[in-house]
Amino acid sequence: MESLINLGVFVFLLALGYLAGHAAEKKHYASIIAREKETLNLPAVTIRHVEDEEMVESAWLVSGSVCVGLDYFKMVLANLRKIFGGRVGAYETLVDRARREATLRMKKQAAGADIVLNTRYETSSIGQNAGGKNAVGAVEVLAYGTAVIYKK
Amino acid sequence: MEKTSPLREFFLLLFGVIGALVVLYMALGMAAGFVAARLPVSTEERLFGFFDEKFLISEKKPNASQIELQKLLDRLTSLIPQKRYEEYNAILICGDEVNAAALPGGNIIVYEGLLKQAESENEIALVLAHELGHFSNRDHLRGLGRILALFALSAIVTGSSSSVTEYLGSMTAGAEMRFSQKQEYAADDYGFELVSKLYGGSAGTSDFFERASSKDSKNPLVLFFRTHPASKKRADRIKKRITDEKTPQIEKTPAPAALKNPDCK
Repeated sequence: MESLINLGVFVFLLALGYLAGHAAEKKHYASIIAREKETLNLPAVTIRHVEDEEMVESAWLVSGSVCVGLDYFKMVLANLRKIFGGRVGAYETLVDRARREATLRMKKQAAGADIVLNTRYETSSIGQNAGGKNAVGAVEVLAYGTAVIYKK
Repeated sequence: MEKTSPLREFFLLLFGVIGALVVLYMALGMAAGFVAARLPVSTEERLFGFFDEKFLISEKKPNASQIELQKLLDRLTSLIPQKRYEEYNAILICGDEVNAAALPGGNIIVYEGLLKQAESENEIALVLAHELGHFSNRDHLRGLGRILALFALSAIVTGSSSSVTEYLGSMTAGAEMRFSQKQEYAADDYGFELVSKLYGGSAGTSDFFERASSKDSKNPLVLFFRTHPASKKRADRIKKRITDEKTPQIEKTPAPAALKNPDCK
């Protein structure tokens, strides 16, 4: 009986993870796409230097970090995927969301700038080691760069 | 990003895993069957000796009910032409379940509940003889082999402390072995023949299943998942044999008082 309850809890968490995770992802993507359109006029590029430093009026460090949690469904799906190998689609969308969100938050700090130079990303996983083997993890992405305003 | 449907992926992978496990389980089941048919008794006793030591001997109390049950089993086993085991043990176990099981090493456990509801000695003899039929066909080893295979698989795939493994473990602990319908019918036939030989007639041999069938759930889902074939079918099979073979009409032997009111303590 106890084991049946455990099985029930598992199925419940799976369904909850799928429904909540799916809804959150859909909402997040809608928000990301809308905000990306709004910030199209502020490019974030990987060029490291401005050719002529005389052109720069001011520059400052900008960063944006985000932590996106894995849902239970994605975790189980990824574990299943680990048996067969192949693309772990469940993680791909997660990392994609995190990277784009971090960029948007970095751009928010760069409000008023003409461009963000030397954009870099750092990614790390959080929580997988802290809570034991079955802990639901999260991915952290940090985007940082140099916001620059040119002399007009 | 390329769009993928996570649900579709999930079920595809899940069915892939389940399919692979089913194939592996069937292969292991066949291997267990192959081994069971050839396992020498001495090896069986060595492998499953823990049943005797940890579980059965401590359960076996030398009271009147236990002695009567053993006597009945001894009368049955004395009729077996080729005995697989040197001694067969009947062990009375407390519990209202109407059930009995054949365990490795020639041990038969009988639940108190089964004796309480029995109306004649013939009926109890049929249950014991049915379990002897499982020994004769080595079903008990096949069943255990499959459960052990399932248990091992589950431990590998889901981890030894997972809920699935625990669930299977509780099944093993309850000695709930799944026999196929074919195995059950073969054991019924064996039991029928042995009991007819003991009493010189087949009276009471279908009683147990007839009573059980009146208590069977009518829920089709329960019927589908039950381990034993429907009792009604089994009672009908035995009754058909009684009429077909025109076995002598005899009086049922009343169950001894010690079995009618079992003392399992």
